[in-house]
Amino acid sequence: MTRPATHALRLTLLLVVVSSLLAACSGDGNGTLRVTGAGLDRPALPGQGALRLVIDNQTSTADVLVSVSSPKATSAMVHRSGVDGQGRATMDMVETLTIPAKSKVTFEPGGLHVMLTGLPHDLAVGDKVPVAFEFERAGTVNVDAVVTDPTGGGDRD
Amino acid sequence: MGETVTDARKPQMDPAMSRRHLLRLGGAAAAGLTLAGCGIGRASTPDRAADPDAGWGGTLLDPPFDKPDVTFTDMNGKPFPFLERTEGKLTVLFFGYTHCPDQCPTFLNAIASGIDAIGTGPGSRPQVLFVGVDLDRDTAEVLKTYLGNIDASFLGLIPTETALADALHALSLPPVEIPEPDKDGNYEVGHPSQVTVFSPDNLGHRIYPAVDTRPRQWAEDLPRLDQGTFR
Repeated sequence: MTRPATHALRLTLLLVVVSSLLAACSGDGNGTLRVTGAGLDRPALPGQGALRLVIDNQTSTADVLVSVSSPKATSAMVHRSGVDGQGRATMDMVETLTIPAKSKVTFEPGGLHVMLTGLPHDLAVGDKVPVAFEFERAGTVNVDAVVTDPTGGGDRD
Repeated sequence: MGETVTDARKPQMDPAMSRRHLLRLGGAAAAGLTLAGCGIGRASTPDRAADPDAGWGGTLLDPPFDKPDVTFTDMNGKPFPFLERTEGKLTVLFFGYTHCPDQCPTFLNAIASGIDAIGTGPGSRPQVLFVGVDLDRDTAEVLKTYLGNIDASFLGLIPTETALADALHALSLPPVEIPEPDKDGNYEVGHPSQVTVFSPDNLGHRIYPAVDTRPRQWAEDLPRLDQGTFR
C-alpha cells in the first residue's frame, strides 16, 4: 500500500468517526469525496428499495465506485434506468461508476439508483440503513440512508 | 411544431414513431423556452391550436386511442373486463412489475401525490390500474401488498399472456421483455414507459412518461381530463 493510500485510509477512518448521519466523506489531501443526501423511499415491495444519493468528488482526481454494501441488505447493486428506442423502460446493472474529478454524480429517479434487496420488511419512515460505498481511491465511505415517505414531504412538486 | 401522432394505431410503436414523439417533445420544450423569453403579455396566451401540449403534461394522441377489449383478473381474484369496468371513468393505465425498484414506484408515488393534492372534485378519484407484466412474480398477494403500500385505491390487474399482448398491441405500446435470470434468480423486466389515460368519453387522448410526470402535473391534468378537455 502506498503512503498516500495509507494516509487516505487513516483520514477515512477519522472522518467516518466524526461524520454526520447524512454525509460522509473521504479526502485525498486536495479535497474530499463525499456521499450526501442518502435516502430510501419506504419500500412498496417489502424488502426491496432504491437508494438515492449524491457522490460529490471534490478532489482533483477521478475516482471509481467499485461496490456498495449494507449490513441490512443481502445485495446492493448500482442500476441505471432508461428508456429504449421502442419506448420500453429498462434497467441495466452498472459494474463500475467513474466519478470525474471536481464533479458530482446524482442518483435520481429515471437514472441511477442503488437497488437494495433483502432489507428488513418493517422499515419505517425515519429509520436509518447503514450503507458502505467502496471507492478505488477514497476507500470506504459510510453513510446512513434515511427512509423517507415517498408520497409525503414538502419537496415534491 | 404542432404535429400530432397521426398513425398511432399502427400495430407497434416503431422507431419512427418514437422519433416523432421526441421531435414533438423537443418542439414543446422549444415553445416553452420561446414563451419564457418573450415577456409576460405574450406568454399568457399560448397558441393551443399550434401546440396542443402547451400547459399539459405528456403528449396528445390524435386520433385518440380506443380502449383494449381484453379481460384481466383483478388482485381480488375477480374478472376485470376492461371495457365494462372502465366505462365512463377517468382511467389511468400502466403496465409495470412489482420488483421494479425505480420507475414503477416513482410513477405510482407521483400520481398518488397528485391525487392527494387535488383533494376533492373532478379528477380526484381516477381509477388507477397497474397491470403486472411479470406473470411469475406479480401475484395477487404481491400486488395487494405493493399497491397497498402506495395508495389503497389503486387496483392491480393480472393479465394472461394473450390479454397482455393484445392490450399492448392495441395501445401501440412495446412488447414486454423478460431476460434470463442471473445466478441469484433476479431479473429486471423491460415494460412500457408510458402511461395511458382514458377520459370519461372512453378514449385515450393523452399519454404520459411514467417517470418524468411530476405530482403537480397530474394535479393539473387529471381534473381537466375528467371534465372532458385534453388539449
